[in-house]
Amino acid sequence: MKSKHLSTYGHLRYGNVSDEENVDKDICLLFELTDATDFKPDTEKAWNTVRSQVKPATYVYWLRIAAMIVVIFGIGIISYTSFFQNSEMIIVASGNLTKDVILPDGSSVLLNANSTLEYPEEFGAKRSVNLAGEGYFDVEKGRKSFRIHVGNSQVTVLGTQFNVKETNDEISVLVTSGTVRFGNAERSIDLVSGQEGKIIIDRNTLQLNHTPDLNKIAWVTGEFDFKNTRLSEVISTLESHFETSISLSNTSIGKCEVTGSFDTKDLKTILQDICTVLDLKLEYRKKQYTLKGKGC
Amino acid sequence: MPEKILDINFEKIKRGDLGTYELLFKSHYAAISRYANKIVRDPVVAEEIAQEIFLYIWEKREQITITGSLTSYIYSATKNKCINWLKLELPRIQSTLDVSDTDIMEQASEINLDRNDEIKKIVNAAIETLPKKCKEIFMLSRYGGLTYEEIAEDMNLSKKTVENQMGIALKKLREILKPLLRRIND
Repeated sequence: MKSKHLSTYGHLRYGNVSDEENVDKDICLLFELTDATDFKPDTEKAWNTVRSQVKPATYVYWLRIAAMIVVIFGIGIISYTSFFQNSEMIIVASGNLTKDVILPDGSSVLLNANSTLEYPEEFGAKRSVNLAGEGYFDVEKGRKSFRIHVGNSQVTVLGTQFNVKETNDEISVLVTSGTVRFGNAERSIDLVSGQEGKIIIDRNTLQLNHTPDLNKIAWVTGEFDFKNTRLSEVISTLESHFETSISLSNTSIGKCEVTGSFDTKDLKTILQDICTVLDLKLEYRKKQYTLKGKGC
Repeated sequence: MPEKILDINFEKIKRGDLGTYELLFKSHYAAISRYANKIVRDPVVAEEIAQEIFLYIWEKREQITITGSLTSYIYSATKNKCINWLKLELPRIQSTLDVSDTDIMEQASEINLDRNDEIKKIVNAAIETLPKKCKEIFMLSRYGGLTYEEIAEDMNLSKKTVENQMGIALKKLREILKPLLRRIND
């Protein structure tokens, strides 16, 4: 039994074995004989899968992805009531909690706290809603395009998922997959997955960002995801999510890199985890967190 | 592992020659999947990784510069992707096995030793019982082939911690797998 497996699989490598691990020869043997199973990858099937995705390289790729769009809006004053002349308007305000709203066409919106959504009892010729604040939309596919009005800007989509947010000085649209048209009366832009468009209200400029921070939708996913991210960036993400200020005892700590995902529920837990990993100390004084320690 | 040596001209792929790309895929896919499986210990994930690697090669063909051989490029890309998977995805995956240590030990004394898949199931179940961090360190070392220093650096831990965690992992595995080991050595 033993020799049969050893001769069959004895050539396999399974990591670094130092002297002190020699006692675990038996365990090593076990891993060896379970490493090489009868795993037979189906090359033809895999090729068909891959083949359908490689040509034409970019176009098909985007079409295949389930359309999911994240839209983040800046300031917006609801002023498009003229769109809904024929139908009763329903206004939903979320208050302190997030709220799930189902629209007349079956689309759904997860409304973040302190946000308002206005939509008609029945969609008429157009599917239009007004938003103030932030919402994550899952739009049903339909022949009529779906439009969201925030401030002086609109987002137009056919069937996608996206998130809409309101801050004080900007309107931005972040797309995680699919395509969306974003703009105001003067200019508009088509955004594809992984892109963010941003209108700075004061300057009335429209910017395109190819590498947006996906942690902006952590409130939907419930998770922050960092990959070799500098602590300084991590802190600013956390600050804007939790609307608080966090300080570092010295700037060199900010250069430490953080990798991992964190539950968005509790700031203290996140900071404690980061401190454990980076060997820092967490201090809480006068409602203010400070991270202390040596830099990287 | 046996692998047909084919003269694949990457320059052709760079120019968008799908035929050459297909040749590359068909000659390497199975081997790459098996290689990935050895690191991630999950055939489904292994095939996904292999496909992602090949898709990446096609999509980035114009940017990719290969200094050594194409094959070794693919292998090291696969290894990196697998190690990333161990680091980033594995910790998120909730254990689907809901069995206790004693269940495993009981099964271990009953299974048919000629059935490799059964042994594998037991070994995997034993690995699943390790605490999350401990499991991650263990996988990176055993299957990712990383040194303790590399793991310590990657996870921002001290080398000592990594050693300790490995010690814990091995001790626990030895304990759970004892019935199985005893039978194999008999």
